This record gives sequence, C-alpha cells and structure tokens, in this order.
Amino acid sequence: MTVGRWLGTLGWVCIFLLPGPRDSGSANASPPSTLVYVANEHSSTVSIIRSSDNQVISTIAVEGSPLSIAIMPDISKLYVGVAKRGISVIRTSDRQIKTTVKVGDHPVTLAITPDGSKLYSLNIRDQQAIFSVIETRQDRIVDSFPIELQCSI
Amino acid sequence: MSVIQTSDNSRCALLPVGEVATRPVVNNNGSRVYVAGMSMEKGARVSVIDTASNTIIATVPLTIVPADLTIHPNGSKLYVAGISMEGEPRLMGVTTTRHTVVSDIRLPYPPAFLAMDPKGSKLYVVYFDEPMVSLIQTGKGGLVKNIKVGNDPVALAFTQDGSRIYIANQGSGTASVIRTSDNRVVATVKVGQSPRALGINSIPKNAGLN
Repeated sequence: MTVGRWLGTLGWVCIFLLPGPRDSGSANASPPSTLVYVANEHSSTVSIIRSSDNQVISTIAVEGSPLSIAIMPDISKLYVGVAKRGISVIRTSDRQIKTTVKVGDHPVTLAITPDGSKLYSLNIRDQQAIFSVIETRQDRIVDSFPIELQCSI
Repeated sequence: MSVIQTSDNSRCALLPVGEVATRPVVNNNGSRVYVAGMSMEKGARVSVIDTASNTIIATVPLTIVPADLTIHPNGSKLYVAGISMEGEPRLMGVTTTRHTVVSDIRLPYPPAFLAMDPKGSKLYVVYFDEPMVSLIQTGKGGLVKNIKVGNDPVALAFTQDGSRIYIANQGSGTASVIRTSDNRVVATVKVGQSPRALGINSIPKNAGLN
C-alpha cells in the first residue's frame, strides 16, 4: 500500500506499509457499488462519483482544503486530511463528518493498515514532518513523533 | 528513507537512498523494497532493500534522474521513469533477479508518475504539465498510445476489477475515466476546484502489496 505525493523539491513524501499477516475475515458482505472519492483542494469539498454511471451523487463539504484521502478497508469511514484542520472522519453511511483528529496543519498523506486498526498520517510544514499514529476505533492519536526529511546520501 | 516498526512505532532504520527519492515499492512476497533516488555524491540509482534486515543489499545505477518507479505484480521487473542527463524523458526497465537495466525507451514528455494495472500487462505514464497519459505495453516495452485527459493530472486510481482508471485533473476540475479494455476516455466528470487526491471504496485484491 502506497500513499504518496510529489512535493516538488522534497521529492515523494509517502507512508508505505509493508504487508503483514492477512485478515481473512470481513469478506462476507456483498460488494458495494464502486464509489470514487475525489478531494477538491480549492473548493473544500469531496465529490463522490458513482462508478456505474460516472455521476457525482454527493458532495461533502469539509472545513478547509482537503489534501489526502484514505478509506477504511471495511468502507465504514473515509479519512480526509484537511489543511489547517487535521483529519476529518466521515461516516460513509450518512456522509457526515463524525469528528476531526487534530494531527497538525498539513496532513499531506494518509495510510491505513490492512486490518483497519490504525491510521498513519504525515504532516509536512516548513520542511518538518510529524508522523502520527491514530487508532481507528475511537479515532484518537496514540503516538506522534518527528520524521527526518533531511537529505540522506 | 525512514523505517518504522508498527508494533511499537519505533524508528528502526534510516536508509541512505538519495537526497531526493521516489516512493518505495515492494515485491509480491514482501521480501524486497525498491526505491529510486539520487544524490550528488552517489548519482542516481535504485536501492534494493532487504526487509528482513532493513539494509540496502544492492544498488542499480541509473542514467536518469528518477521521478517515479513501479513494480510488475509478479515482482520480476521494475519500471523507472525520469529524465536523462541530456534532458530526454525516458522509461527504464530493471530486472529484480540480476539487478540490471534491460529496457530503455524514450517518452514524449517529462514523466510525473507511473501506474501499473493489477494484471501487469499495461503501464500508464502520467506527465507533468501535459494533459496526457501514455499507455506502455509491458511485454514489448513500447509506447502504444497517448490518451488525452484534463489539465495537470495529479492522481490516478484503478477500480478493484481493473476495468476503469480514474484520474484527477487538478487544472480542469474534472476526473477522467479511462476504460482499460480499449483505453478510451469514457467519461469526464466535473468535480470541484483543484481535485488532488482520489480514493476508491473497493478493497484492493492485493491490499498491502501495492
């Protein structure tokens, strides 16, 4: 799983999870219709496109510029990294913002573990990066620390 | 490149892969991670990382400044896109068995990023500043088709079944939908201003394996 973003002179900034043991459960529900979520940075919205007919079926307003998106493996929640806000947690059932996790002001990239238990966020500001670990049951930060962005040869 | 142990969130390695580097990719059994990078001192190269020891076990010299890389789903070959020292956009193929460059083709524009279909037969190249995506046939390694999309394509995602590609066009406020069976744009969906990230709500078949 790779979530990445090209940041010009910084190169790629991404969180990359190595595969671990597979969770064999959670596959008994019938597959939902494919929806595509698009984060629109300058209109502060997330568009939802229904893939079967490519119609925008909903537009969710977020309070700021959305920068990144991650979806829970069981499709229950959508995480949107919003500039100057943190990570907005959107329930996919009613498309309401449930809470906002205050991780810092520029969450450029998000990644969720395959079992859905943890969300990782990388915040970049002024060449500094903070890595946050969020447990997804209660959507709270359990760990947070700086990551080196300095050049390594 | 920082390596974090997820069980206790400890930082277990900091690997010298370059002053600038691409995103990493992992092979199909999780034993190797590859990242392309560049530094003034050591030049451009692909670093081969053994995930058991978190060490760089080999490097493959490149003649391009790398912009992105991707890996074939069977783990046999890497594709690295970038610009040569002479300023020519190129796509290089590297075998993961012998760690050598086995193909090198010219691209029409400076590449931004790469995406490979889940079956590994088709490779798509997305460009900086060009409303264009190129289809590369991985078997023969040639450029097959240029597909016109919107301005400033910044993000790309495959549907779970691999039948459609969605591309967020930051400059046009649209998402282009490419049907992969014939590589035609079948829809251009108006979204909001400056779309920049995409997510698809289906569980990837090979979650965790990129």
